[in-house]
Amino acid sequence: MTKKKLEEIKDKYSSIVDDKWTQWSQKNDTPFFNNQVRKVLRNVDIIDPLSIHEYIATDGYFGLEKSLKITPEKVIEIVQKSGMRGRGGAGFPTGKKWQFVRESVQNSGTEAYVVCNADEGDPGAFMDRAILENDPHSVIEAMTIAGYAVGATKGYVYVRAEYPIAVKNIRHAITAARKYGLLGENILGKDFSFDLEVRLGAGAFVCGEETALIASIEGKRGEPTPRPPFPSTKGLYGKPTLINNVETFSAIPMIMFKGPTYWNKIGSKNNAGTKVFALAGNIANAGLVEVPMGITINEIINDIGGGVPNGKKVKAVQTGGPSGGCIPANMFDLKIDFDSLQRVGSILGSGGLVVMDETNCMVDVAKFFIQFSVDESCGKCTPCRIGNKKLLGILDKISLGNAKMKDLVELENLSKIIINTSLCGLGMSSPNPVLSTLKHFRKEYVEHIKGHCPAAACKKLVTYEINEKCINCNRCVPVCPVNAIKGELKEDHFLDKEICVKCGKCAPICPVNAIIKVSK
Amino acid sequence: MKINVNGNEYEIKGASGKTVLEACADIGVNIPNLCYSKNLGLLSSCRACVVEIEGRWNLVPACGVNIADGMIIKTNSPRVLDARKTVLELLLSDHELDCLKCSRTSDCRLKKASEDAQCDAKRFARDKEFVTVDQKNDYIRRNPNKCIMCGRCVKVCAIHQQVDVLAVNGRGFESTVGVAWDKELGSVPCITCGQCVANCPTAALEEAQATNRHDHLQLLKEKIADDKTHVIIATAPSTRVAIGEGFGMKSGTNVQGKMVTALKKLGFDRIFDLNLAADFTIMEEGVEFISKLDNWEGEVKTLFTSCCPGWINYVTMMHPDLIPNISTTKSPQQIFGALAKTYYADKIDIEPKNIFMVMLMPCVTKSSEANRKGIDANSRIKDVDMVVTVREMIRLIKESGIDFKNLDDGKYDDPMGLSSGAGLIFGTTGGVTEAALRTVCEHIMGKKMENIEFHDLRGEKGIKVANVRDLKDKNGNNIRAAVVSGITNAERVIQDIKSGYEHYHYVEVMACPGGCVNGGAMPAHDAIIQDNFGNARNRSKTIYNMDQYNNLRRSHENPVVKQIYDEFLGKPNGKKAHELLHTTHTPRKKYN
Ligand SMILES: Cc1cc2nc3c(=O)[nH]c(=O)nc-3n(C[C@H](O)[C@H](O)[C@H](O)COP(=O)(O)O)c2cc1C
Ligand code: SF4
Ligand code: SF4
Ligand code: SF4
Ligand code: FES
Repeated sequence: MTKKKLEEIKDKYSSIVDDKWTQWSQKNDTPFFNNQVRKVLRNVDIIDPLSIHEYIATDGYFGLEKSLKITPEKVIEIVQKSGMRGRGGAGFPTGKKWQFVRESVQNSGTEAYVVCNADEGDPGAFMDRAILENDPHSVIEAMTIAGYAVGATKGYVYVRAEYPIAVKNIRHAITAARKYGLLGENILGKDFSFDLEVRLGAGAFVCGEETALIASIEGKRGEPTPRPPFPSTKGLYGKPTLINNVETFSAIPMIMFKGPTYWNKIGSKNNAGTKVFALAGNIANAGLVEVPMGITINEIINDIGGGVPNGKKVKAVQTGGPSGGCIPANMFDLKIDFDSLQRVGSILGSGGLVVMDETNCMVDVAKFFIQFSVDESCGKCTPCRIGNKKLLGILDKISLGNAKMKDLVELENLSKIIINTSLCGLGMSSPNPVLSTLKHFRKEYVEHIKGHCPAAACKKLVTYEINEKCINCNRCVPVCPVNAIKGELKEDHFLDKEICVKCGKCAPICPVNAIIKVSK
Repeated sequence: MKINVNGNEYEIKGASGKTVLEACADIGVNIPNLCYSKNLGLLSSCRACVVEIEGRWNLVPACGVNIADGMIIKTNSPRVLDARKTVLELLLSDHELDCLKCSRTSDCRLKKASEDAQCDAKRFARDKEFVTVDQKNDYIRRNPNKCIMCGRCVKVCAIHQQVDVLAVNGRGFESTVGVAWDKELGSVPCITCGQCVANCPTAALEEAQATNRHDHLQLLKEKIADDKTHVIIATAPSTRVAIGEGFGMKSGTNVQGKMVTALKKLGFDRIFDLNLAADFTIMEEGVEFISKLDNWEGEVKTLFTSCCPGWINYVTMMHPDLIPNISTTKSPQQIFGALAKTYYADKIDIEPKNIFMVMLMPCVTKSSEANRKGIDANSRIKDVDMVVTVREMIRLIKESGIDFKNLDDGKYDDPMGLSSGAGLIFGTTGGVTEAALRTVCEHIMGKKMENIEFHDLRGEKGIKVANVRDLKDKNGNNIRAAVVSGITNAERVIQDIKSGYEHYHYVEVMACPGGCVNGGAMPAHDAIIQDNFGNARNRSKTIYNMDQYNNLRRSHENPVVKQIYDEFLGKPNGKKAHELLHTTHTPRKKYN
């Protein structure tokens, strides 16, 4: 493969790709798409992921071609200038990480590895999957560039086994790239060789943590190990290892092809470029959205997401998945980027964005995420393994109405100790959902202690009632498993709260929504 | 290198690569730690050792951070103390907490740390359900209700023993440290070496007994109380330098005399010294070695020792092809039992069946040797009726209200109480070989040695080699002897031999790193910083000292040994000796 051949392929296929793009934009001429800036997702749903030609036609592999013509130092300088920060969650400057790996390769003189983290375990996040399924070559090209930059000849794509199509497509793309001389020996005729292998993860959330991921590739139990040593000095098989996230990699080829301004001319201060969010929850238009860093929560929820449906009031948004936090509606003019989210006790994380309306109980939300950490902790260190379980116990007590004010103190203290003493990022961030809801929705916690659930979500703290809308149709009576509803057709109906087990079966049967759930 | 700890400056010597935990211990600042052991690789799982380091936003584990010049460390700030206490309270919340009847009550690291931190064991509600104790392994009891998941047992079994049958199972709060594939310890190829027991900071792993699993110590008390039973005990070489630790004495203190007195007070009818039997093992194995030296039939021309049952469990399971190369000489324990039930029974005119032979052992798996099929000289009479471990004996002595520390020195009983320094050094790695070489060179080959101390064979190295110039094989090559401790090292030597890379005429193997002084049923290592050898270091030092000051340092010079051969056994390796003092080895199944 040579530059000339790349250009030939591009010429031949660009009209096909252009047509596809036009079709796509006509079909998607909606506010949901028009308010997005699609850089990382530029090819998603447009090109055929199984066609290397179509990828080349979108300027694919020209970034690699350019990179191999300049020195590795120069490549790293461009990545640094772009301002890219890792999309895997922590936001570590990508160019700096590449620099560290290159330095330890040069100091140790050993081989090195490039690893793509496609474990994507956050519940609700699926941007990495979308990229791997739809644009696998962008990751391959980026990893090859990274290999050249840091001095590695071998790379691994670590994908969770629950993504069979992603696995299939990336494998297909690797084979195609090899065939075209874009992977393997003497890439693009240059004195540089690099090859890739796919490794499957068993789907444990903690395997996304870099040291656990390394252990898993090595065939060990996916358990984090203490850092230092960091992977950049001692990673896979004890060798310097560069680990980046799928989304991070995916932007690299265009940065190399078009220069650092491709990325840093958008975004906010210290937060260059775009970020893909998985918009979900109580929102009219859910799905993946790619926006410049620094736009406000309001803009995402209203301009792109179309607001909260069913006439409900928006209450909060949860960002960052199980390591993130809840931001209340009165703060929705907050700019979304790594730093400002951190400032309000949440994180950008991998880009989960769950919108919650007034029927969501914040204690319940905290419980959901802590339960996730209780199940997904690797179990190695004490605070994370046992501490989260104890947090869950206290939250349970609160949602049952059995807690006292001192339990809130314990909740906060224990959360801080878990954060302070855990071994890896999972434990260090798992109490965030508790702390952020405690911070922004403390009143709601206190209400529970008094015996009320304002959102009427905690079973123990709500009752069912039949209100004046009842038309005495008698449909609800046979549905109740414990005969708590009394009444004959065309006579008044009563719900006996003493008997009611709050199963909620009756409410949806009522044709006029007369059976309602109210906070005690 | 200078560091600042709790507001005071300290100059740390030999600082490079020292962890905060070690550096603080050096200056007398102890940081509680449960999962750390120097030779097991960094686990950093318990988090009891967290400290504040200036410049770090979170608390960091002292075991996992190396000191740096100018580092400012706080180990007792309110923040640290609160976090430490909470971490321990989390561990306690799901712990069994039956400290009063727990075998580790006086040396449990969890208990000690929690007491110091003044923990409230009831702060957090219990979430774990009690599970049944795994008693499927005859020699090791696994009680998951006491496990704090430090991971040390998993590491030691994998790294030092290469047996690798322990594992972390499951995920999240439900994860457990247990047996690989969630099995029971009785259904995996565990060799019952007991190193996991030695490394466990709690009593989640402890020695068990196949016979009378629940109350063999009760049986012992009944036997002692029964006038018709003549209860005798023999004490293994390493026990006298360790048992004092159970009563607060410094590790390695020689308490032979106090131990004998304590055993008398417990009511044993006779107290004998197992070192005597070690002298017999040397006589028999020495002659066996010379007679086989130039007459091997198979490819492998090495004689392996047979006195460590953990090793025998391993080699007969993993390398049954080496069975012809394992010495047929019985271990001191079995030789003593065989002589007690024959020679001694005759001498004092008691029916062998009325003798109850007890062994005091540092070892988790000596009882497996006593139970081994075909080990007994007479199939109707057991050589050894019961093995009591050092840990168990400490509990018995305490229970009887014996003030061990202040006891007068007692003397072993006749006629089986006299032994040589060669028998004593059996208790430490290299001792068997050193003792054997003394006798083989001087007695069997008739060469007077100027120096009978083999310093090459002493110390902590896992594989030690001696080139013996005084002794040659038929090709005129010096005799090469290797001393190995730890099964991982043994496997390495076996591979070297089988591949022809190395030739050794004689290989001594002990399953426990450092030999019996580091046995799995010894008092727990008490140093604040744990490592592979711990208290075994001092125990071993004392043993070599005792040998040095013993007038009798060669097995063949022991008058009791001579007398018993003359009066009773005949010649070493002779007919009677073969009947009583030798055994055969059979392959062992990996899975039961
Ligand atoms: C519990 C935990 C789970 C993680 N899961 C992922 C993941 O699924 N994907 C990912 O890219 N990074 C994940 N990370 C972050 C990685 O450890 C690592 O920082 C990242 O892959 C580095 O890539 P980046 O610099 O491109 O962000 C996780 C971290 C933690 C602590
Ligand atoms: S913080 Fe949690 S996931 Fe991380 S090592 Fe500890 S137990 Fe494992
Ligand atoms: S006794 Fe030895 S072999 Fe058995 S589990 Fe323990 S360390 Fe492993
Ligand atoms: S059994 Fe003992 S050594 Fe093993 S993990 Fe549990 S507490 Fe640690
Ligand atoms: S984490 Fe340091 S001793 Fe356990």
